[in-house]
This record gives sequence, structure tokens and C-alpha cells, in this order.
Amino acid sequence: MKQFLLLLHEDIEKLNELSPTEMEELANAHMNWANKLAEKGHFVSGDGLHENGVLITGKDCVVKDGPYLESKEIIGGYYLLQADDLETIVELAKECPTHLYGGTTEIRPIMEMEDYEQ
Amino acid sequence: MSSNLLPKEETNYRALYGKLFSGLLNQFGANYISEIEDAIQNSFLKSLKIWKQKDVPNNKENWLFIVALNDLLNQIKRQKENNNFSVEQIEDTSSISNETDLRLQTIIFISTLQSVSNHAKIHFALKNIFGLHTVEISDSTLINQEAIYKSINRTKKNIQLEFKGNEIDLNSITANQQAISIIEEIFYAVFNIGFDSFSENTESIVNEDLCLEAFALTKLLFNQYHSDSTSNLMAVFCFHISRISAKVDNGKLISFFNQDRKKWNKELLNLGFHYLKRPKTLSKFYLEAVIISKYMSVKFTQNDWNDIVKLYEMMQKVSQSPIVKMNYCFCLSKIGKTEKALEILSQIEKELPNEHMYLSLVKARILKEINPKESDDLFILVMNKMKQKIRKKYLIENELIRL
Repeated sequence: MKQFLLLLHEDIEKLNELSPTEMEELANAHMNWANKLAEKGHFVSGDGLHENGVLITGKDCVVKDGPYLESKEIIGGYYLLQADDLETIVELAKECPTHLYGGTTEIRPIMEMEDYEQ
Repeated sequence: MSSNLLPKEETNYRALYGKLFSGLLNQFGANYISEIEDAIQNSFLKSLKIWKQKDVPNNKENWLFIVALNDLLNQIKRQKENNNFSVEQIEDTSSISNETDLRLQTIIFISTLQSVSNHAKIHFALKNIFGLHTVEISDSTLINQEAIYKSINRTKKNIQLEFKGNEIDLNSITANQQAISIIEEIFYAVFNIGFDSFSENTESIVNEDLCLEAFALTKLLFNQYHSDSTSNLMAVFCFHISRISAKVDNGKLISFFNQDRKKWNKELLNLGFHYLKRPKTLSKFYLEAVIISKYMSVKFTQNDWNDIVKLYEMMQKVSQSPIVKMNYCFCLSKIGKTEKALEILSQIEKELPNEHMYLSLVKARILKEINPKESDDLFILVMNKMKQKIRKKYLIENELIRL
């Protein structure tokens, strides 16, 4: 099985504009999706990420506080999933609730030894 | 007053919003309304993150409550240098819990405010007690979103000025008849928003949880104050709720006169008659309940239209609502007074936003026989604006296809 990292780019402004009912639907959608992935054996881990963090850059190790981008979109969470191939993951990720509510789901295959050898 | 209206296992964010708002307002007072709103919003946002994991807290409602409470405490602590609020005062949060439901008391509090207009009271309650979005409030009040937003903000400021940071003891506030009327208007608005849901996210044409919440809170109000008008409002709700299961059949919307009457809930119908109370003076909810009960009577005849027209004429003495006038126009057309109906409609048209959906529908129905072309154009206009498939389909099959 190969592993894939799903990065959830969320639009904080848009999320803030959701009504309580829509927030509830989104929260439930995430829960159901994670459960479904787990049942099928695709789920490895997944968490939400704090909006604030720290950036370290340069030889002098300059420490800066996040947010990291000027853009209002930030990575709000991740899923680590496993499957036989990318196609399977793409099909699964189509149901990822994030992009159904204004965000973007980015899929990055995890590099494996054999990938380096090619 | 600690009735628990929410089913325990089920967390409903919209209802929970009102519950959290009421509880936190009671504890922290009017100075922190904006912070309370932010805290609840933040706790919901955080739930989106935490729910991504498979392990969800057992008691979601409690979790959301604690997160909102801590968020609010943090906000207040950050501000404390700027205003001389002692932290000790807020550190004691042991008395707060999410077990008590203070929503009715908060609505009573809002209704008794001196410095806020009646319309603004309704907007404020719809947002903060019933967790409705400005879009939903705008759709149901015919007032644009921007104005709703401003109205709610003004209300917040007015409450702060009126109370000048004094504590609010929600449990000690009582409602007079004037406040009761405002509370009834709020529940009536909530019920109507629920009874005709146009949300594109849910395919459901009835938002039952809103209807039942309005119903449950109205019952609480009635139990406390025993007002005849509240009783009549209960009757209106009973008659409507009894028909919910007949509104859709086989995925198709069924119009009132085509509904299978066997599907109407008999108990609720009877309960409606039980709550119907003839008032001493003309009352809006009494008349409305009588009109619905006429529509729902076993054998509906042409003569009933005449009666309903008279009832709507009485209704207009106590209600300025354009919706009432539109319903009146429709009934006028049913007794052959189409000209008069169209004349009144053109008057109302000036008061409403352009291409108002309900007005277009009423007009299209009235014009159907005498001006089919204009009628069709109106139906098509409405159909293009409808977001729900089931409603579009209804219009196509029932109004536009001629067999």
C-alpha cells in the first residue's frame, strides 16, 4: 500500500460566513468521511491544524510567527491515507468535505524508496 | 426554568447556538455580546478541526460549550487592561453549565428592551437565539442582508447602552402583554422559515427542527403566561404541522388541495381546535387559525372561498403584512374578482423587492386563465430562481405543461 498526504486548504473567511447549520453539516461530513475511510482501511491519521504557528528560516534561524501566507487560504488540516494507487485516492478525495465548502484538497503521494530508484 | 428542549444525544448547532448564547449572556452580561458571538463561532470552527479525527468527544454539546466558554474567558482576559474588569469576577464559572436552557428567558429579555425597535428585536432573536444566517433572515423578512446586519449590530450597541455593564438576571425578567406579542411574532417568523424551506443545501422543503422548536418554545410561553393569543398561535402551528407528512409524496411536492387528507395527523388537528380560543378583540393568530381550519375542513366548497375572503378582510384590520394582502388577492380571484385582485397586487408590487417570488407566483396563478402568456413568463421567472429541484419540478409539471 502506498501512502498519500491530503492537505486541506481552507478559506477562513468563507468558513466564518457559514451558518451554524452549515457548520454542523461540515463537521458531520468530516466525521462521516473519516469513519468511512477507516472502515475501508484507508485511514492512517488525520488532524486539524492550529491557525497560528512558527516559521524558522535562514542560517541564522530567524523565528517568525505564522500565519504563513498573505493569502486568506491556509492549510487547516491533513489526512494521511493509504491505498494501492493514486486513482483510488483521487476517487476517495472527491468526497472530501473541504472542497465542497469552498476549500481545496491537495493530494501529495508520499515518496517511497522505489520512487527514488527510478 | 430548566426545561430541556433538545434531544440529549443529538447536537443541533443551530439550536445549540441559542442555548450557548443565552447561558453566556446570563453569566457575562450585555457588555460582551460581540465576544459571546465570536466565542460560539470559534467553538464551532474548532469542532470542524477536531471532528477530522476519528475520536469524537462523547458529549459533543458539552465539548462545544466548554470550548466557547474558554474562548470567551480568553477574550475577556486579553481586554482586561483596557477596562477595569476583575478576573476573579469571571473566574468563577462553576455556576455555568449547558444543562439549563435559558432561551425563552433570553427572548423575553430581548422583547422587553426599551431602546430597540420591534423589528430589530425580531432580527436579533432570529440570529442569536435561533442561530439563523442573515441570508435566511433576509429571505423571510423581505429586508436586504446589509440592513439586517446593521440592525443586529445596532441592537447590540443599544443593549450595552441600556444596561451600562450591569448584570442581567435573565431568570427574574417577566413579560407584559406587549412583550408577549413580540415574542409570538418571533416564534411565528421562525416557524414560517422552517415550514417553507428553500435551502439548496437540503432538498427538504420543510425544516422540521425549526418548526418544532418554535412550537416547543411557544408552548413554554403559553404555560407561563396563559395568553389567548399564544394559544391561537399554537393552533396555527398544530394545523400546519399536521400536514407536513402529506406535503411530499414519491419525491414530488403535493399542493394543498391535492394532498391525501388521510395523511394529515388527526391528533394534531384536534389539538389545533383545542388551542383555538375566541378572543375578546380581533386577533391575527385567531383569524389565521380559523382560515387554515376552513381550508382543512372536510368538504371545501365555493362558499368557503367567500368566507375566507371575509376573514382576510378582517385580518387586514390587524395586520399590515403584504403576505396577507397577497393571500387575499388569490382568494378574490377564486370568487371572480380578478380585476380587483390584480389592482391590489400592483399596489403591493411597489412595496416589495423586484421580482418577489411569492408575489410572482400569486400573480401567475391569477393570470393563468386570462393572460396565459404573461402567466407563463412569470412562472418561468420564478422557476429559474428556485434553487430546489423538487420545487422546479413542481412548477414544470403543474403550471407549465399543458395536457
